[in-house]
Amino acid sequence: MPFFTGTAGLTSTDNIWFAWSQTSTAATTNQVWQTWTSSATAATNLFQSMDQAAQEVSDELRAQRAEAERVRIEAARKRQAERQVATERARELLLSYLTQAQREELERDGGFSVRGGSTGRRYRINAQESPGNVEVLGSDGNRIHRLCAHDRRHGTPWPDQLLAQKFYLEHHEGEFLEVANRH
Amino acid sequence: MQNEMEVLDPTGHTRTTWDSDSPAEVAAARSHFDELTGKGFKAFRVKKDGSEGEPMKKFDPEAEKMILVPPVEGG
Repeated sequence: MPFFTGTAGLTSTDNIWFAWSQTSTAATTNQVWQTWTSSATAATNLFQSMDQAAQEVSDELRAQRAEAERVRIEAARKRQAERQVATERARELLLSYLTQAQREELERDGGFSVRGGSTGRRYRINAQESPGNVEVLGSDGNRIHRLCAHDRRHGTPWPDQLLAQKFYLEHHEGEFLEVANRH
Repeated sequence: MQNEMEVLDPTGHTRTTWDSDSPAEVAAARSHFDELTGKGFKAFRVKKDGSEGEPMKKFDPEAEKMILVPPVEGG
């Protein structure tokens, strides 16, 4: 039998409750509770303080997140601006290595032709950024198929890649054909 | 005479110059050339106006101008 249902235990428990609720202890307890819950007290202040602290932490976290986002966007803008400058420099370099006829073709058709150094075959390098931008041309000038080979490891801007394709086709055609994927 | 080497890189290109009469500058340019060709870059001797490319296997301190292009891979 549990101790609190037994006579002695009940008596003992009742005594405790009686003492707690009926005697001066209750008054003390009530005072404590009243003190705890009344508006102008430490308890309310404590809750308000906790709420305020949570709000401050929340505001601080929000501010930190906003700052991190601002930094991320700024870094992305900077990278994009640097990339644009690099692409423009690469484009100027590409143009400096093209003949007048190739520059005109690029301006007119969005690509330029080169002769394979080993086979004498004609290729057209399309300037639009896309896979398989090198076309193998037949004797009638029509496309036979497309080839895809680029710098994949050094992060060069697209016009640099066109220039690399031109040098490869003119001077290392066999190697280019060996590594290029056919489309 | 100012000799120059253009290397295709993420900035568009980087230009290195050297005086063929300066052993220190030649050594620095040669070291750069060897490092890049060791990574698979192809080197070409070109004229100042960019015409008439010719593949180079070794660094030539007297080359007026050269360009190094990164290796290409199938995609």
